[in-house]
Amino acid sequence: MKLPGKTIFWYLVFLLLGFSIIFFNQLGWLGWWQRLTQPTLISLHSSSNHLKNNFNLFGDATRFCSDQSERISVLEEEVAQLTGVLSQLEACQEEIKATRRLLGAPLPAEWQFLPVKIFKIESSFFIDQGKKAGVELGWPLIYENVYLGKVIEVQEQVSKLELVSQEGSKVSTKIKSTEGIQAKGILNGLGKIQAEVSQILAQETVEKGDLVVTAGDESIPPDLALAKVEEVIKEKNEVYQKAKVRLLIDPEQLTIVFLITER
Amino acid sequence: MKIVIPLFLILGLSLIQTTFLPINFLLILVIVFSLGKKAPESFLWAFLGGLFLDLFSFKQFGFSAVIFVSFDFFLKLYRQRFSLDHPLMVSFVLIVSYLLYSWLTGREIRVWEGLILLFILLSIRFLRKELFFSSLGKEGNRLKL
Repeated sequence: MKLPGKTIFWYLVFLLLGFSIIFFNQLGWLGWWQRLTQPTLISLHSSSNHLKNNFNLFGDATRFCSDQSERISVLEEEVAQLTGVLSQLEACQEEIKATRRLLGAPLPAEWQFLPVKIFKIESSFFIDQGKKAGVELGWPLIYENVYLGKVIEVQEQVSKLELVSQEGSKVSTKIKSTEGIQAKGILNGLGKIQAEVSQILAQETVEKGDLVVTAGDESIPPDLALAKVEEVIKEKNEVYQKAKVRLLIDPEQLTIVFLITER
Repeated sequence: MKIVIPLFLILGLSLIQTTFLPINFLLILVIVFSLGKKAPESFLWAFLGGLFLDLFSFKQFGFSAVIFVSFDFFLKLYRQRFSLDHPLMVSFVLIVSYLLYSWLTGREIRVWEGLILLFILLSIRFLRKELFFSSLGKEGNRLKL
């Protein structure tokens, strides 16, 4: 079971090359490369996310099947120009709308925000700002007064996020009932907009419709909304009870969100 | 053409994988190239595939390249000892590679994705049997590298 020496030699060469790239990247020597490629890739991913959310199979099929004539091509050119302008206006409008919502949210006046675009690649979420905009690890991400997640990796022009909705994420929370009772628990992401709050003491009263908010720690501000309780799972003789919750916002539907830069 | 087609295939698949269809097509490509091409060519394509994937998905640059090249190497090693004639062996190789890649890169493991990849690889096996069936009779199933 021995491979020829040539195969082993080339394997080691490529392995060395791969590790060198990782090493140089860690040292930041490939920053120029990221600065060069990331802006184009960000717009590519933003457009593909936008397309995925507004996919129209019939419309696309008819467009491809329609006869090509001079008149149509002239009109199409005009439409393309106008669509470009329109998409720019839409992006501005969306940003204004999100900013208005943020201004209307009950958040402390001294907090500073950075508007960012959010997009998904495979199962990971990213924002279109990184080291260049001064983004730092652990910065919280919100939409209105709803906590979405935090920054876990910063690159030149993009940053990777860990969202509350993602499987494996954990956030310490408080559950506020209508009578003002606050039970403590840990919110565990399960993927999509379903989640679970565990480690709630059995003697605490939790009911359907109660609001789940952040308990607050070093990086996460307290009292930011998270989810609503849908079902309480209580078992006899257990120290803790659980609650199935529905997150208030599906991040996949958002385009503009805000990073809290100062508080 | 020998270079252009694989290059465009890798570029296109990594783009599709990271934008519209989050299915690990490049893993299939690495397996097929590993079976059909000799070293160092197969290593080169595995390496480039990994680099493109890292570039398009903002992952640690070079990480997938190292993993894909290693997959290629271990698959060559595996074929020295075992045969890939049987669909079950092909399935085994794919499942192990898929789980290992997902675990190493922190990628979500999805049953439907695994099934689609399995379907694609088994289809390739039926269409391009010569890649999977070794032709070395007495010597067993060794692949000439």
